[in-house]
Order: sequence, then C-alpha cells, then structure tokens
Amino acid sequence: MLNLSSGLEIFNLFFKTFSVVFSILYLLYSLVIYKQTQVMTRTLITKSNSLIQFFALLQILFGILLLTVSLFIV
Amino acid sequence: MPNFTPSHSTLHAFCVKPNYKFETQHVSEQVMLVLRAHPITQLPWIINSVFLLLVIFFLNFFYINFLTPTQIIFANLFGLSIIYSYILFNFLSWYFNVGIITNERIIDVDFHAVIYKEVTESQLSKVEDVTAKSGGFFASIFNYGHVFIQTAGTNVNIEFHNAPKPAEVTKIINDLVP
Repeated sequence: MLNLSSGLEIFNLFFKTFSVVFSILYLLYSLVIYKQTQVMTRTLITKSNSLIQFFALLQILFGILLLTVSLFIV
Repeated sequence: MPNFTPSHSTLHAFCVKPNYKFETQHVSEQVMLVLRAHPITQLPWIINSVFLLLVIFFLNFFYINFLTPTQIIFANLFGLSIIYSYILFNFLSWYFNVGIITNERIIDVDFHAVIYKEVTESQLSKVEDVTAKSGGFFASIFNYGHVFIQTAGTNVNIEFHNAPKPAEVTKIINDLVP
C-alpha cells in the first residue's frame, strides 16, 4: 500500500501518472502522423519521401522510448 | 507549349519541371510547376522551435531544485519529443501543401492540420482568369503572394497562398492555357 502521507510522495505519484498518460497519448499521436505521412507521400511522390517517412517513424520511436522511461524508470 | 528549363532542389518552393509524380497523374501528363508557400512564411514556427529549445534548456536549472534525476530525464525527453513533433508537423504541412501545374490541369493539394486532405483540380481549358496579389512588407521584399485562379462554370476556384514569384506563376499558367 502506498504511503501518501508526505507531499513529496503525492507529487511523485502525480508525476508518474502524468508521464504514463502523456506518453501513451504521444505514442497514439505519432502513429496517426505516421499513417498520415504515408497518405501524403502517396499523394505527392518525391525523391525525399523515404527520408520523410523515416522522420515520422522516428517520432514513433520517441513515443516508445517515452513510454518505456515513464513505465520503468520514473 | 512554352519551353521550361527544369529548376529544382529538395526544399525549393518554386519547382519548374521537378521530378515529382502525384496520385492522380495521367500517363501522358507532365508536371510543369510545383509551388509551396515561400520559405520565409515558415519563419514563425522555426523561431518558435528555437525558443522552445532554449526554454527546455533553461528549465533544467529550475527542475534541479525539486525533481529527481529520472524525472528530469523524462521531463527533458518529453519536451524534446513535443518540439520534434511540432517541427515535423509544420514541415509536413509546408512540404505537402502544394500547387501542381501540369500540361493538362491545375491541382491544389491541401492538408489541413495534416490529417484532413483536400484536393482541388481544374482543367487548364476551364481557366478563365488568373490573378496575382502581393502586399505587405515581407511579401514585397521576398516576392511572394497569392495566386487566384478562376475557373468556368460551377468549378471550384483554386488559390495558391504565399506562392513565390506570383507574377511568374500567372505568366506560366497563361502560357499553358490553350
């Protein structure tokens, strides 16, 4: 059972909750943007499209990293 | 048909005969001109990104008083991710919101807030009037403005906002119109 007697522990619990919730939201957002980037690159086909898709994929990796850090480290 | 000399590189906003293709392109259709907003109009979000990076850096001096090291790492990662997304979002909005002029049609591709797609197109033969409007301090210095293309009948009018060299765009369209 969590001891919520001190303000610091309440703050830590709040921080943990905030970090997990926002990491999940960020990951969902990055998935939507990745999907939409695919639509965009289909609409206009240029030589740089694979690079742009890589940057969109990088955003998903950021999301996974954030979720991992928030779940296991914070 | 007028003779165009190809002039294009990756981040150009005024691309003459670029090596681009688009979704609804016909077999014999050639892309003559691709337009994006003038890069100077993208300056606000670039400045915002630099400012936000500085804010994240200086917040670390504030965090150190009341956050644990792991919380500081998360806060920095989260801040950097948000800025990265902000940059990517704005870049995608700029890069894929294009006006395409081919030897057959004029196409306006708009992605509103990245997730809403709107494609407007008109045959060159339906073009009735092309107007270029340019006004303001930066628009005069950097030579950009809006191009309005009025089409016949009930067809939707096409607008290219903040296009570079609006007078030249007008001339190119007028040269292509049969």
